Amino acid sequence: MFAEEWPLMMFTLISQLAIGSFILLVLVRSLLAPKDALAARNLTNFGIGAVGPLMALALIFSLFHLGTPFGAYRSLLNLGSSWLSREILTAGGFLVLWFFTYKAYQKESSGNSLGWLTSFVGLLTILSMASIYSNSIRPAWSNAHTYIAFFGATFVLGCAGAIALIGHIAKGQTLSSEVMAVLKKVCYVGAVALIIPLIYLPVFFGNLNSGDPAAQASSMLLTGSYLIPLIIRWAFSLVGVIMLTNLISKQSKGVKTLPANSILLAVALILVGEFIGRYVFYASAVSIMVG
Amino acid sequence: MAQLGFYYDMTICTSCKVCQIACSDKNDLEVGTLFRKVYNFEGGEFPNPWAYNLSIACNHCAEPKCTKNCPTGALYKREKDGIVMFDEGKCIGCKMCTWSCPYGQPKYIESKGKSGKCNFCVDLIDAGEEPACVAACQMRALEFGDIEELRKKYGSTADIKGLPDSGITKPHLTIHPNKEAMK
Ligand code: SF4
Ligand code: SF4
Ligand code: SF4
Repeated sequence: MFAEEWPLMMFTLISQLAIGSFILLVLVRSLLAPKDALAARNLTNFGIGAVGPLMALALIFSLFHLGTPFGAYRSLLNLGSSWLSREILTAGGFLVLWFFTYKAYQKESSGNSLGWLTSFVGLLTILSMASIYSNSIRPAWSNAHTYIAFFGATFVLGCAGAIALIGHIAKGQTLSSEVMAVLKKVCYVGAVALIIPLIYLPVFFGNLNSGDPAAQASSMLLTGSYLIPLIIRWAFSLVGVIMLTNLISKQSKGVKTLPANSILLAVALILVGEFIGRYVFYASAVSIMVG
Repeated sequence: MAQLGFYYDMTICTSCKVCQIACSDKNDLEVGTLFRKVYNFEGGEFPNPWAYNLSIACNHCAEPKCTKNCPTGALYKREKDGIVMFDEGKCIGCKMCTWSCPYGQPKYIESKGKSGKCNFCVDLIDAGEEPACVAACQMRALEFGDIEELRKKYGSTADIKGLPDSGITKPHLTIHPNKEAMK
C-alpha cells in the first residue's frame, strides 16, 4: 500500500498543513491587528511566507502519483464533474492567491480581505480533496468521515504549523498578553478540530459495520491489523495538542516566551499522529468489487 | 443506434476462458492485466456443493462513475451507442477511474503509466463485426447488442451474488444466473 499511495499521503498531509497554517496565521493577524498592528505583522509574515513553498512542495508530491506526470495539465479538463479537476484548480488558485497575499502583507499591516479570500479558496481545496475520496467506491472513504477527518486534520495541522512558525520568529522574545491570548485561541481551534473526528469515530465504525462486505472488511482491518496504529495515532495527537495548549496557557500566565524545544516536541507528536492516521486511512480502504 | 450492452448466460458457460484470452489477445494485454475476466465462485458442502462462473468486462454503464471522476475526460460515453470510450492520449495515469468503478474495470497499466479498459472492440463494432470475446465463445454464452432488445429477450438481471449493487452505476449487462447466484 505504502509504495503505491505515498505521494498522495504526502500531498494531502502537506497541503492540509499549508492551508491550515495559512488560515490560522490570518486569524492571528486579524485578531491582533486592532490591538497591536506591528506584532500582528512581525509575528505572522514569516509563517505566511513559508506556506507557499510548502504548498508547492505538496503539489510536486502529487505529480509522483501520476503515471504520466507530463500530462498533469490535462487534469483540469473535466471541471464539470471531476473533483480531482476541481482539487487541482483550487489548489493552484490557493497558491496564486497566496503569492498576492504574501506580497500585500509585506507592504502593509492592515487589509485582511485578501487573506480571507485565499483562506476560503484553501477550504474549497480541502472540500474538493475530501470529495475525491467520498466519490470513490471504497466504503471506508465514501463516507462523511472523510470530510470530518480532512477538515479536522487541516485545523489540527494548521494549529501546530502556525504556532511552530510564530515560535520560530518569536524565539527569545517576551510576548504581550494580547499575543498570548490569541495563541491560546489557536490552540483551542486545534483541540476542537481534534476532538470532533474522535467523537465521530464510533459513528464511522457503526456505519462500516452495518454496510456491505467491503465496508465490513474495512472495519475489520481498522479494529484488527490497524488497531494498534490507530491507538498510537490518537495517543500522539491528543498528547501533542494537550501539551501545546498547556504550554501556551502556562506561558501566558508566566514569562510569556515560547520555549522552542517543548513546542517542537508537541508539534512533532501532532505531525506523527496525523501521519499515522493518514496511513491507516489509505491502508484500510477496501474496494467493493467482483468476488 | 441505441445503447449497447452484454448478455451472459451463466448456465451454459463452461469457464473455458476463451473470451478472456480473445480479449487479452485483441487488446495486446500483458500478463496479469485483464479487460474481460472469468470468475469462478464456489461454496456449499458435501453433498450439496455448488459452483458458478461469471464472465465480466466493462458494462458501459448508464451512470458510469469512471467518466464522472476522470479528471481529463479520457473516459467518455460515445453518443451514438453509449460505449464508454477510453482515449489513451488524454489519460495521465491518475488511477481515479480504478477507484470509481464498482466492477474493478479500468486497469492501471504500470508499463504505460496509463489506464485501459474494454472499449467494446469499437473498431470491430464500427466495421459491423462482433466483439472479439463474443465471437470467440463456442457456447454462445456471451452476446452483445441493443440492451433493450437483450433485456426483452433474456430479462434484466444485473444483480447476482458476488456483484456490487447495480444501482451504483446502472450497468448495461443482463445475466442468466444459476439459482445459487441469484440474490
Ligand atoms: S463498468 Fe466501470 S469502467 Fe465500465 S462504464 Fe461502468 S463504471 Fe465505467
Ligand atoms: S487514470 Fe486516466 S482514464 Fe483513469 S481517471 Fe485518470 S486520467 Fe482518467
Ligand atoms: S468487447 Fe472487446 S475489449 Fe471488451 S471484453 Fe470483449 S474482447 Fe475485450
